[in-house]
Amino acid sequence: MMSGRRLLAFLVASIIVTVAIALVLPQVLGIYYLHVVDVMLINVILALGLNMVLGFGGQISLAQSAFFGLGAYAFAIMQAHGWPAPVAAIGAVAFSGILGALLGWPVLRLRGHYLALATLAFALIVSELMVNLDMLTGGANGMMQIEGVGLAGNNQPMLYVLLAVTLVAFAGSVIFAYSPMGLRVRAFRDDLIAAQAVGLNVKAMKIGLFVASAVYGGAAGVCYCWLQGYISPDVFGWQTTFSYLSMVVVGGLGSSVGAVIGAALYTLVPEWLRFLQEAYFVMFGAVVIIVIALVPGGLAGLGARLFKRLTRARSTDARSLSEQEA
Amino acid sequence: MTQLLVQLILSGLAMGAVYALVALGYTLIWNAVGIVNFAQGDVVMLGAFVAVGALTNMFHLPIILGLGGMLVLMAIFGVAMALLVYYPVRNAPQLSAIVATLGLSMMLQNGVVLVWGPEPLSFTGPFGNATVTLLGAKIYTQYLLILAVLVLMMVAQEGMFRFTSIGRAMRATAQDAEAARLMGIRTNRVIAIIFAYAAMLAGLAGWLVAPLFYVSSDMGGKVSLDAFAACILGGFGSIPGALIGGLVLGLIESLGAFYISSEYIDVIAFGLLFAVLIFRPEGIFGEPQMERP
Repeated sequence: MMSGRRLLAFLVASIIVTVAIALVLPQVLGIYYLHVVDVMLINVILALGLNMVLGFGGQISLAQSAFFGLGAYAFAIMQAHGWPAPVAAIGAVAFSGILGALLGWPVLRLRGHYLALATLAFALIVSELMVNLDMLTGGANGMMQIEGVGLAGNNQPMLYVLLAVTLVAFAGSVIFAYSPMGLRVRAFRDDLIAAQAVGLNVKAMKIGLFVASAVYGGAAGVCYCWLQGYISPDVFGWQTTFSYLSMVVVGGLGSSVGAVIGAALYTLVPEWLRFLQEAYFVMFGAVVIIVIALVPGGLAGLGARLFKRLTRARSTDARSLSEQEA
Repeated sequence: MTQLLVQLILSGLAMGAVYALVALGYTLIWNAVGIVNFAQGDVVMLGAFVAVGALTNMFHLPIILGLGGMLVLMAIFGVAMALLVYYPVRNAPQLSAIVATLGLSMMLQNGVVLVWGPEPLSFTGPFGNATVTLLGAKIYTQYLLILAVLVLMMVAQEGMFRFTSIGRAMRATAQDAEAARLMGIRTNRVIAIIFAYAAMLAGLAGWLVAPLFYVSSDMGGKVSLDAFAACILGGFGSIPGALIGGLVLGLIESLGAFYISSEYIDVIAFGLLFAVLIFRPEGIFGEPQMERP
């Protein structure tokens, strides 16, 4: 169990790291790699959101690509109708959150594969509608010239914006994991019947988790509009939902740091493997398999174990497990 | 009117048969080792590329030898899949194992582009555009072939499960791997055989659909999804469920695309599936195993 003081220290450290990144990266990276980092930060937000429902709550959701797209399209459409950017952004995130509740409520009874398919069906339906409702969404061409906050294609200022949003998202996830609500959520993930027996409102919490992941996904979608200035439906296609799943699992389920590591690696490793040219995605697939074979619990768990061994952690009670979940 | 209906039903059943073959692969692997092999659809694609791209186009083998050779190669691939993908992640949490199969799917999709290039291949199949007339309706012979192959495979499979020792070992492993091992069954070998058989089924499905569509690196994704949906519709882990789920889904897609809207067919089919799940969370044939909300 993380103490309040350690939580505070952890958050302060995150802020320092973020500020350091903001100061250093624009000095050392070219315009292309700044864009890669911007895309990475959007993936971090998506992975943090998916980790809420999947990692903390243990509910398989394959709908993250849909919330990403819903946020992006809602923002673009609202702004095209003359809403000012901040209002449209809040509106888009709220819209995505409401759809999260509308998905979370009917799938309450489902588990395992059945939940996976229901959420995947939702992702597929949303991505088909993006293509087919062309009056509203521009069809397969997507939507061009989204004004956003006027920073589209401007990678350095966008880095600051995205770092700020990511920091808020990360802090939200860490604080949630630490909060009593976070403990209750992990309680029902680990033992549903016991959690119900002590009177936890599992139903409301499950819906809440879907809403949280949808809000994160929607925020990522809004950020994507701001960064690119255009959207097209293939970015939010149902197949892309599996990348977010890979990020969270490779990083380490139920760990906010893991979601960051997973999203960072998922975005950066293909860049490093680019020298392999066409073979690089083949190699990347192999890397995913090897990582899972070597560290089945994800990279964050590995990091936490190493850290423990180095610092010889004093607490040995079962609760110390939850330190991985920071 | 009836002609049209016959056409729609047969083409729907043929596509459904393809989903069923892939869904069977999911089911057998799930029953044996408890993971969903999301790369199964890409194994379909690989089978089509091996048969069409390599054996038929490069080596100019006769069609039947191309099919036979492909099945042998797919069996070898299935064993490799068991050894190199399943075996290293067998002790990992279920979700991690699923992501490993997604890694495999990424390797396959990009691997075939490396070997055969990005252009889709075309394949005329054993019958080309030949049709037969049934109840006054013209039906592609290929559709009938697909259905005939499915029936044949099911009879052969049932025979294998019931009457051969390897089939009994496969059933025993699927029911309880621990107990099977205690009874002296070499479960690792049986698991490799199950992967080989599942890969052959997927390859066969790829060979059967190749004449209906182009053979392309992205043909696996939708097949994966439809076959997974077929498993769910029929109740996950049930062999008759996978069969009937596949056929029902094929029919829904074919009839829905014609009578309602071909643009919105995926929305309709998966919307329907979503509704089925909400009202019957265990699928049509599944054991009830719902969770109290």
